[in-house]
Amino acid sequence: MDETTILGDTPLDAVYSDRVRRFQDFLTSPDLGNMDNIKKMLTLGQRRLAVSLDEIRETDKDFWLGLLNTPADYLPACQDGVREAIKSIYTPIDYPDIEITSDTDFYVSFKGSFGDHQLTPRTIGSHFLSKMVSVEGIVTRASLIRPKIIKSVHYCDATGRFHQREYSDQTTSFNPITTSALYPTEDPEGNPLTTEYGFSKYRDHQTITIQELPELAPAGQLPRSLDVIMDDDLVDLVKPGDRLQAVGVYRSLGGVGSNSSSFRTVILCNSVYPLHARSTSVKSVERLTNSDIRNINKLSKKKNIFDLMAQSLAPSIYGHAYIKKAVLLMLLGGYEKNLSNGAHLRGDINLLMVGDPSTAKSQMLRFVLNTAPLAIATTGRGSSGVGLTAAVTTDKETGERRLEAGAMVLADRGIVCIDEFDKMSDIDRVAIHEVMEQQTITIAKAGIHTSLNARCSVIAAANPVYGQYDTNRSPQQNIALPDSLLSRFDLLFIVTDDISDEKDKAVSEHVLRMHRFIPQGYSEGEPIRERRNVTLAVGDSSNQDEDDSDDRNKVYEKFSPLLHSGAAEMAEGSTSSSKKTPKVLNITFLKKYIQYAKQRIEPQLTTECTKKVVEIYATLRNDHIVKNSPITARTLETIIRLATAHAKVRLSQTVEIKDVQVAEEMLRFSLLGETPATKHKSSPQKSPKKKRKTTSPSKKKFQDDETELYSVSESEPEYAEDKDDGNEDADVADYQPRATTARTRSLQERLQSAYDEEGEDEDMEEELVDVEQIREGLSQQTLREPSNEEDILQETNTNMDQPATISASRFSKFKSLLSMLRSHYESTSEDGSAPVADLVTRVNQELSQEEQFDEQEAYLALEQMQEKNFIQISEEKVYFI
Amino acid sequence: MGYYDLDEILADGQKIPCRFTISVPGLGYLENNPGKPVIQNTKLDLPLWLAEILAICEIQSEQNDPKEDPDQPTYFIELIQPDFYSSKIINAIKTNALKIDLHQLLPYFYKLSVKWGSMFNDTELMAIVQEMFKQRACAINDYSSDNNHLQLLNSEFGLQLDETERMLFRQCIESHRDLKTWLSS
Repeated sequence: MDETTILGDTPLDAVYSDRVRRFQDFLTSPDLGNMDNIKKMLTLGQRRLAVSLDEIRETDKDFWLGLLNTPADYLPACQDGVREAIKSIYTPIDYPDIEITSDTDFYVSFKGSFGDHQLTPRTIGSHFLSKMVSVEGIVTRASLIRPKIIKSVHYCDATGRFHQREYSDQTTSFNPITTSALYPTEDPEGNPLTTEYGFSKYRDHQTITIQELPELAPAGQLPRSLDVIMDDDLVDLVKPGDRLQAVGVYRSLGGVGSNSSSFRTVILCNSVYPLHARSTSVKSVERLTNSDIRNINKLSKKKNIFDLMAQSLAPSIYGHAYIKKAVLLMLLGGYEKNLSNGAHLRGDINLLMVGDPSTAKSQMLRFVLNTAPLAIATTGRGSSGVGLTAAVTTDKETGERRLEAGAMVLADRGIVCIDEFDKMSDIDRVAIHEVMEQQTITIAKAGIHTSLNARCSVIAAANPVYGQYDTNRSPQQNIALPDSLLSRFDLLFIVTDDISDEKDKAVSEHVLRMHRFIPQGYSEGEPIRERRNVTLAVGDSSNQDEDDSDDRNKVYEKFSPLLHSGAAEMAEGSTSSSKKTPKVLNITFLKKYIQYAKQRIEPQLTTECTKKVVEIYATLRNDHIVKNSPITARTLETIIRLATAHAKVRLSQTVEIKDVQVAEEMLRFSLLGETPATKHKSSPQKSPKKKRKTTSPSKKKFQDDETELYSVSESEPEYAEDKDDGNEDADVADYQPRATTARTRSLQERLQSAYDEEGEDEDMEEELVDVEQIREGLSQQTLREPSNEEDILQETNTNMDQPATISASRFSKFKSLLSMLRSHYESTSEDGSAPVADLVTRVNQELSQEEQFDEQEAYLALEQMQEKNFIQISEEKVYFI
Repeated sequence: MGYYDLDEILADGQKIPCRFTISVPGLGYLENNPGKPVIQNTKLDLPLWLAEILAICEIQSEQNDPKEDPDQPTYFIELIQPDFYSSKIINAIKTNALKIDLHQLLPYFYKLSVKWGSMFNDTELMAIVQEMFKQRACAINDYSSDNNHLQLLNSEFGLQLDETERMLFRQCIESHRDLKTWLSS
């Protein structure tokens, strides 16, 4: 940093040269390996040598003390020492990356233990002035990088001579005398001078502001900040939001005003070490070893790799198997394409979770935050549209307008976690529309027109409009986000908090187990100590790695029933018969796996897959069931993305049918709440799902993955008890959509679509007979009494003209239409009642031709709603309750 | 320092990391895994009194096989260098002994260091610990003069004392007080 020494015009007194010699001795000491580091540095073309303070202390304690306490005397000597050492080994042929002239500066950076010189912007005091300190904090502001004049060269026409002048101020050297910043215009004889800008020497200069780490600030106090000056090769190493440890000399710059006795203080930085903490924009990269890659490849051959990895995610969260799977797919991401016409096909998967309070949505976000290599957390209330995208600000020093990156720009190639998504104002929410599909941010304001990359996945959590998910309303009403935004989310999960004895018991047991867990090394009742070893040594990452090398190479976590029961439950849910302890992947290994899969695998679609994808998309489009989010052409891409991500799980270079199947399964669960238990024949022992009759079908759909475990244990008589004679057809209707086996399920679907599209089909005849047989079998089991309505139903069944029962989707459609009409009737008629015939006509007015409710269906729907105490029917009139 | 010394017992109960050289059935409850064996090469924290015995007890192989595998472990466990003697901590101690939070690190640091040092005959470590104790003892003595001792309790340093140093601090205060009464009488 000290320029004067480099040019050799400083009085090289004996003390100074002694210090240079001592540092050279340290560098050339054969058992410390500093010379190797110098060679490495030169090969890489760098100019900053990292030395360990601990090693300096061991070799020369006085020098170490001097370096820490009076760096102004020692640091220039160190830099000269490095220079001398380099001179002794440097040849331009060996190190083509670096050219050494008299102008080349070499610097020293320090690592190791700083003891009481390890500070924060709060604890740094005046007695640390002019000492070497290490400060840790978070970068809040980084100025523009500007050149600073170090040496100017001037040519005098009259004499034909070159003149040079050096400039130094408080930040470029330890010399307290600041030279005038003016270029000389004439030589001592008065001849005019021309500045030779090409020969002059400039140096990059940047000022950053670091702030105390918010979590270390004392309770109830605002964090303090400190300016740090980064010169030359240190510029642009950090950006706002990064956490770092900076080593440097704490300097005062003299009075701000002429008669002020207060000083501006800065740190003249000589080494920067980024701290990897969560929610920073520092991307963490795992180092893959050969054995890791072997393990990854071995694991990828497993059949249940997808389930295994999904259940290893957030084992502390109970249930939510599909969300975990979706998170896994999101971490891997699809395959991004940039077409030659400039179109950009997004590869990142966006997730939205809507659900009741206390359903571990935010926990899931936190997990993503901790696991993903680059993740940034925001909340709906705490972030504005500008804060998420990019802001135009005015630079404090230069007054220039410049662009400041928002969260989504910082999370480029990462993940943005947005909590409380519903609380965000509409204007702010619109700002992220562009990011979510085009993955760029275009800005045209304050004379800046630019487009920034923001290729990030979005995972958002929101509460329903009414706080609780209201099952009486349609998903659209509950979520209350515009379709334009919903269609940008690949997967939408509705998480409901249902009251069910078994589930509550299991969840509470799980939570209690988590609380009973005592980390190793702690006795019962002992408070958890905070680890503060981090600050004991600066920039020493190598030691850490060695310490937990054993943990790093592990593939599986040791199963602990206290911690991982969430995973256990999931494993049971998927394989049902296996009772052995589930395997949980080590989270470090999982990260490596994801990193490897992301880097190496670029799956391609096969032709048969494209066919399948088209087929799925067409079916979904034509389905007239109530969906949670609109089905658009984006859905098609969603299927491709999900399938590609699943192919990455298997480390396969081609997307195969099974990947598409998984994608379809995920999508169906997300859109319709269907689970494979109802789609595929996963286990024969699964009994039909029976719910308390109070849960409406639309609500039940979403809890399937949690409840399927328990429904097995539910016994038949309970079901019979549940019903009485009066509401049985409601139960039939209720029961119908959740068909017994895969066969009836698919039957149901085909029936539905057949009805919806063509109205009648020849095949339907025998299928309906099947349905009837099954229903008969069930009615025997459940000891139902025959009633008139039942007879009617059966008759109509054989007649084949109309569907005898109303499906859940049709019912909820009817219900939502009814609730829309409710206000109309309440305002028009005195008692708020509605004549049935009029009501049905009005409902049908809202619908297209093939969707119309006929009398029978409407009647069934109304009956069903009466059972659920939504309406009251008397004398052909409907009363809303 | 006797058999019934509570501090001694507590220091003995300090857990230190060990690695099992053999698989032991039925010990899984030690790692929250009841009913399962502790398998070979498992890392576990065991109290010093137990670890010491297990680390020096030789395993008697049942059949005295002459062509016994030379790699066959002869001890139950092997001790791993604990965190509090890692190079990071040692460097921090050397840098500034007064700034180490011994209480957080290990409340019985000195007592355990003595045991550790005698077990491994680690003179280098002992020299460092000794030097550290000397430096800290001076500071403690400074604080324990009448006017200062409340200051220590309020200062950061006061909260970072190890149990031995706390006792030393108490004794320093008493001796200062005794000296004062003796001088004034």
